[in-house]
Amino acid sequence: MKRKFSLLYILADGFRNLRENLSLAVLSTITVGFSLFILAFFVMVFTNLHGVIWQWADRTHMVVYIKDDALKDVKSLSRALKGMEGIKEVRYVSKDDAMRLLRKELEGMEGVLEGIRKEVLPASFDIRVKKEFVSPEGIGIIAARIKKFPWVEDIQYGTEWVERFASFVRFMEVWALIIGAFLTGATLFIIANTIKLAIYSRKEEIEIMEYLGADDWYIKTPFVIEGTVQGVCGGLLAALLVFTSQYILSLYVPEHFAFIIENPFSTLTLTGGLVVAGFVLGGVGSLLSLSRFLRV
Amino acid sequence: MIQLFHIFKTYEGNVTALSDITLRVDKGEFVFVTGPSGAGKTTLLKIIFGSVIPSRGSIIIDGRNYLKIPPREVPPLRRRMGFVFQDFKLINTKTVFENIALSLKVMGLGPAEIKKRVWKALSYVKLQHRANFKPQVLSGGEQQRVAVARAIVKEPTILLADEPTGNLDPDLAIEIMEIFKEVNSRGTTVVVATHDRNLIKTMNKRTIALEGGRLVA
Repeated sequence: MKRKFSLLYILADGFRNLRENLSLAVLSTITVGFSLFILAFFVMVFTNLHGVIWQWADRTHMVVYIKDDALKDVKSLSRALKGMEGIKEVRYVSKDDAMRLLRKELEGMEGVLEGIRKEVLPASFDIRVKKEFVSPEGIGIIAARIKKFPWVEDIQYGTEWVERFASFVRFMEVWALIIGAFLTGATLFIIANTIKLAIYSRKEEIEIMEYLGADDWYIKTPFVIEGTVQGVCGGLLAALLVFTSQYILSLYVPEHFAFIIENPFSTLTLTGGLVVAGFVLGGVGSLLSLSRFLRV
Repeated sequence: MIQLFHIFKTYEGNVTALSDITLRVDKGEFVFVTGPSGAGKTTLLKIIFGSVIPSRGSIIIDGRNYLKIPPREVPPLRRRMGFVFQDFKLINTKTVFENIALSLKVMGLGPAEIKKRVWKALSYVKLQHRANFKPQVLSGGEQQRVAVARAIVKEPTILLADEPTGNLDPDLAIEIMEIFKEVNSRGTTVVVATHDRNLIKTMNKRTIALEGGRLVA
């Protein structure tokens, strides 16, 4: 019986406090909203850039030249390669294809090719490797394994490109981590302090409640309700800001850069994620800030 | 029953508030604590209330060592005590009615019961007409009466009052004391800190006198 009434009072108090401290509640909500918006925008841009960079990883390929005497059974050689770990795609380039490619590359200077027969050019396999092997080490491992086949004449792969690519990805990931950690830290700091400030302004009320014999949970719950409501509203505001800024930026950003501000997640996932983040930050933030003021 | 054994209290900066206080207040007793400003009256009341921890000594309330009670058991004890603070400690964002009702809400009483009891308490302190006012628009005396109403509304087993008549004219002061007497007649132990000697004379109750943090009578 007692519990039933207490719960009723707590819920009523939580929403009533929101109404009574409306300006502070709105301020907290806006702070949470903008903080989450900046963080979300960063995550969005980084995810987009990361995705594009990994598309470049597809350019990582190896050329495996085949000894002429092994050309009778190209299909089984190709099967052997496809069965290897780390290989995504195998394409056979016959002597005819090689000649055609060479002609294409030397367009306008065909004279150079006069007297050269296609037999001189080696047939090869053009191999694309899986993402997780796009590193100097990964490529090296695959090359070493392929070299063991007796039919392999030679292997060529752009070590330099792979190295450059891998170090660029590393560089970007490290910076994303640093900026991300900084932004997350700043967001937490701002939200925690906003809540702390809001609670501080009601320090006396908390003290009086304690003197009247209110249990900890009775004092804390209305603040946590307030915090979570503000957090959820802040999350919704952040989502609104993301979509609005996306729209505004799309009017000014050149088309080939438009991918940067595209939403890599679904609208629902992004909104849901921000609302959940606001809910958790608001609730946990209130709870942590309160523990400093209780037991006065 | 309230028992204090060799209580010492020193605040930061080596300010001694209480020194070697041993006393006993029986269940259902009405006691005055008197003494000049800075004698340690407020500290004594707050120590009994549990909001100030003594530097040394022990307190037994209803057979329990008050200083060894786990924190989660403090709120239920406070719910059985009423305290009239010298500075009232009213919540300015809530109305008079809500301020008084709050001490019943934390006890988990139902809305109908709360309403009945709050109106009764308001009629005791003659403030029915101020029920919907916020404390800051009331006079000092009216705020003090709200604080009294909030303390008695929960029918406490122990009522502690720190200068509860400090802002009241003599007639109202006597009326408040009559309310305390009535509360006391229903079994509540009442401890009132005051420096108003006339009031003490009128009431003719046991008096504990403090001076410079020591018991003098």
